[in-house]
Amino acid sequence: MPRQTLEFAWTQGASKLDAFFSVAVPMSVRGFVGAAVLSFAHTLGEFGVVLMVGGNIPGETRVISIAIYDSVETLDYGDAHQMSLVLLGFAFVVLLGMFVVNKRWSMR
Amino acid sequence: MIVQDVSRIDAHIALKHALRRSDFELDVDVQIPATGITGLFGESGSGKTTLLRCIAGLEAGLSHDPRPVHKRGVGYVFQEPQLFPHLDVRRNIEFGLRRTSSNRIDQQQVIALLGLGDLLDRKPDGLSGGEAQRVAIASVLLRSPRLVLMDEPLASLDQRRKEELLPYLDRLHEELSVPIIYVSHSIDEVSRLCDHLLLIDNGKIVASGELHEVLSRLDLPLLSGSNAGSVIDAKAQRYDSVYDLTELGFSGGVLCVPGRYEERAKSVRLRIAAQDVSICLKRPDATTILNVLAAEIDDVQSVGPSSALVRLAVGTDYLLALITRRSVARLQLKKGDAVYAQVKSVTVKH
Repeated sequence: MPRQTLEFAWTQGASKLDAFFSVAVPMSVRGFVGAAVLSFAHTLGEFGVVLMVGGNIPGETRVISIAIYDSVETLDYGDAHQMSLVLLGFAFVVLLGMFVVNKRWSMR
Repeated sequence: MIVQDVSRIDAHIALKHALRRSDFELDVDVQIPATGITGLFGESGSGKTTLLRCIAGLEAGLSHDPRPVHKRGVGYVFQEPQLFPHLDVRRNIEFGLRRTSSNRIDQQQVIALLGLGDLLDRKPDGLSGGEAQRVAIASVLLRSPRLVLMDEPLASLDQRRKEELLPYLDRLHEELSVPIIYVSHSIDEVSRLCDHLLLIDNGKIVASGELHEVLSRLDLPLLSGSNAGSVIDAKAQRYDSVYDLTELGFSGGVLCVPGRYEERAKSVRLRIAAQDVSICLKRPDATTILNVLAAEIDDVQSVGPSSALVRLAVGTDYLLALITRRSVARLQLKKGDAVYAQVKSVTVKH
């Protein structure tokens, strides 16, 4: 966002904190949403950290990427394929959704 | 080393600012009237914007004024209107209002003055440049600032939008008492809008005074060449419908200008550029130029190797003429001579 917009807010009586919450944050909402979606999509494929922090407890901390790993380990390729396909489709839908929303916002 | 202060003494506002940078030094200590529009005129890089930013407190960390920007009560209209894109026009103009306790200025009056009635529910990105600038000006005014700073508010607009916005600025000037500092590098804009004029060059104020008075000085390099010219306040007297001309009367006679100007009590401001004025010793009768005025030479000053500025007294007003030094020598022009001034063109404030 342009610095001058913040300067204008200050000259209009907003303190730095006030201007941050009433101007900078609302103007950056798009950035926040984009960042949240991207981190979510990225986390879908996360493996090592999840395993390290959360472990691999079925029904509690088991995530799809680790489930796929388990299936491959036990040579259960059918399940692995299915879950991989679900993961791919889900990631695709999330990213597609973000691009569509982004485009609509920028055309406004 | 920085000293700065915006304090209001009697009917004046004192501007005292100093700022030193490696490549630029600003040193200003001047008083301006606490009413009307004060023009701040100078070339680009002369420190106009820096001075405004000092007054507003936007030059970070350089201020000895203990008050932060948001407590100074100084409004700032930027060259590019800075509206908040997530708020509609109504909430944009109320942004400053909700953050002030004083409301000397009536909201409905400002909305009407700036013609914003139909725009209130729109979002800023649907506005034209001129509309956005009007919204920005309204939001600044509604905060009832002690002083409004306008940094070339017309510079980002094309000629048509400028013409559109100027009448609104005239109305503000006539109806509101808020003092305004108006920065411009266009002498036409300054001549048209301002009452008082500050000239800035290389960070220093080189002239300050009433507009007519400063414009009629011959010793200011900033106001020589194409910037030289005088301003006359005249009154419409008669409209010649056959040739579509209006006769405007002033202290030194009558000037004819194309178009129709209402015969009203209010005076019309004319700007006459020095390069559009020539001097004759005898009254020229076979000339295509309509406006010939009897004048007396008040001063002659060389303003370059080849040109000279002549100040002519016409009634109680002044005209400036930019002529060659050779003509000055050939006609032996000197102070006190009775001459005739031919005026080729006149710019009228509509």
